[in-house]
Amino acid sequence: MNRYDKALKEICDLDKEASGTSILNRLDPRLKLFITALFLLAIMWTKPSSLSLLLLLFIYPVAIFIIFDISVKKCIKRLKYIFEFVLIMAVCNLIFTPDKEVGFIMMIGVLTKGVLSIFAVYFLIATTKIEDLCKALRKMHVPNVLVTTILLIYRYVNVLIKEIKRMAECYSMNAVSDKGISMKYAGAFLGNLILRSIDKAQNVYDSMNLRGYEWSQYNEFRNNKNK
Amino acid sequence: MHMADALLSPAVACGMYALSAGATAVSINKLREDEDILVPKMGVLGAFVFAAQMANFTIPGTGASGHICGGMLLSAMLGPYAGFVSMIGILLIQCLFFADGGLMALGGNIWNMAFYGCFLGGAVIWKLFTKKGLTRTKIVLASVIGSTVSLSLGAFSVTLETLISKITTLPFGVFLGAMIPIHIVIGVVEGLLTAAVLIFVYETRPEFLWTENASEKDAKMSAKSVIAILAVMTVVLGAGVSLLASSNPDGLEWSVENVAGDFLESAPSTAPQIITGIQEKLAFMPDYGFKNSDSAVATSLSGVVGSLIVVALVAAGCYLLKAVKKKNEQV
Repeated sequence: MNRYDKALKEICDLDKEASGTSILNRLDPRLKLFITALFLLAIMWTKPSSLSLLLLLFIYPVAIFIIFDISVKKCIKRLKYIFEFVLIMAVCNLIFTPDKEVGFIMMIGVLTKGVLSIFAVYFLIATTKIEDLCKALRKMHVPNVLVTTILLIYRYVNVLIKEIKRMAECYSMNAVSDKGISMKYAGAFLGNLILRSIDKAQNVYDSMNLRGYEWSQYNEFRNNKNK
Repeated sequence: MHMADALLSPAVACGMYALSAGATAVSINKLREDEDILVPKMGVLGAFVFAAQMANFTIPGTGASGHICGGMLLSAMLGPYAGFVSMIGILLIQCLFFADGGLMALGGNIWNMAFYGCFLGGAVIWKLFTKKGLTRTKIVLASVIGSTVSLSLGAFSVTLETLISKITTLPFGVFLGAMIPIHIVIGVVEGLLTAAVLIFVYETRPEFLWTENASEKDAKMSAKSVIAILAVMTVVLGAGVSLLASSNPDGLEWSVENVAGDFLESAPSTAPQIITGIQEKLAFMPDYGFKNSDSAVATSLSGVVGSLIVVALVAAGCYLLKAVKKKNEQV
C-alpha cells in the first residue's frame, strides 16, 4: 500500500470512527470543543517544572480512553509524526540548556505537556464528524464562507488524493529507477494536477448544487431576503 | 512549522488568536461581494495545497525533498484575502482532523504560516512584481523571494512566541540559529516549486492567476492594505523583540564604562551632564521603558510606541520629500 492509499484509508477510518454511536459521539461538538479548550488551557497554565501537577492531568485522557474504549495504540500510530516533533523539542531542551538538571526537568515537562495536549485533541478528532463540527462552528457564528471552505476542502481532498495517486503511478511507471518525482517535472506535474482539480471540482460542485447543496440554499435564502 | 499547544503560554496563545481573528475578519469582509464565485475555487485550491503537500520532490544533488508553499501559491491564484481564508481552512482541518498543530496554538499557526505567506508574500511581494504584467522571470523572482521571506518570518515568529511563553530554556540565539538557516533553504526550494507550478498555469491558463489589473477594486486598496500589513507587523515585532532586548549596556556604553571607570560618575557637573539631564527629563521612555516602571508590559509597549513613532517619522519624511520633489518639478 503506497502513501496515497494509506492517506485515503486514514481519512476513511477517521470518518467511520467519528460516525460512531457512543455518548461521546452524540455529545454536542460545541461542548466537546469547550471541554478540550479548557483542558488545553489547564495544560498551558501548568509550568513544565511542575511535573506532579502535569501527571495529575493525565486523569482526564486516561478516563476518557478507558471509559469510551478509544484505542491508545491507534492514537499513537496515527499521530506518530507529531509525537516525534514533541520529542525533538524536548531533547533540544536537554542538549542546549547549560544546567543539565534544569534541562532534564524541562525535557520531561515539555514531553508530558506535548503528550497530554495530543491526547486531548485526539479525543475530539475520534468522536466528531466534520459535518457536525462545521454545524457547531456555524452556531458559534464562524462566518459561512470559512465553514463552507472547510467543508469543500475536506470533500475535495479525497478526489485530489485519488488524482495525485493516479498521476504518481503513471510517473513511476515511466521512471522506474526514480525514488520520487524529479524537481525538473514538478511544474508540469503539479500544474496538471491543479488544472485537472479545478475541472473536477467544478463537476463536483455542479452535481452538489443539483442535489440541493446547502450553500446554494443558503444563498437563495439570502437573496430572497435581500429582495 | 506547526506549533504544538505545549510550546505556548495561554497569554501568547490568546494574543495570537486575537491577531489572527483580526486578519480573518478583514479578509472575510473583503470577500463578501465575490464569495459566490470564489468559494468553490477556494475549496478546490485549498484541497490542492493539502493534497500536493503529500507529493515530495527530490532536490537534485541532495538526499532531501521539498513540497509546495501554500500561502504564496494560493495568494497568486486567488488573491491575498481569499488565499488567507483558504489557508485557515487547511490549518483548521490539519488541526481538528489530523492533530497537526495544537488547538490553542491555532491562532499562532495561522499567523506564522498563513499571514506572512498571503499578505507579505501575496499582497506585497507578488503584487509588486506583477504590477506591470506577468513574465516568467517575474513569477520566479516573486515566488522565491515571497516564499523565503514569509517562511523565515514565520520561523522567527515561532521562536519569538515560544521564548515569550517561557516554555523552553533554550537561549534565543541558539533557537534562532537552528530555525532561520534551515527555513531559508526550505523557502528557496518551496519558492522554486511554487514558481514551477505558477509558470505552468501562466502558460496554459493565465486567467487563473491573480494580478493587480485583474481586480481594480483591490488595486485601489493597495496602498492602504500595504500600510496596514506593515503596521501590524511593526506592532507585533516591536512588542515581541523589545522583550528580548538585553538589559546590559550596549558595546559602546560597556567600553566607555570599562575605560573611564568611576571617573565619569565623580566628575564635576559639566556641559555633557547638563545635556544628559535635560534629555532624561524630556525622554518619556528612558531605557526602552516608561518612567518609574520596570514591567515587561511597559518594555513591550515601549517597543510598540517606539516602532510607531519611527513609522510616523519615516512617513512624514517621505511626504516631505514628495512635497519638495513636486515643488521642484513645478519650478
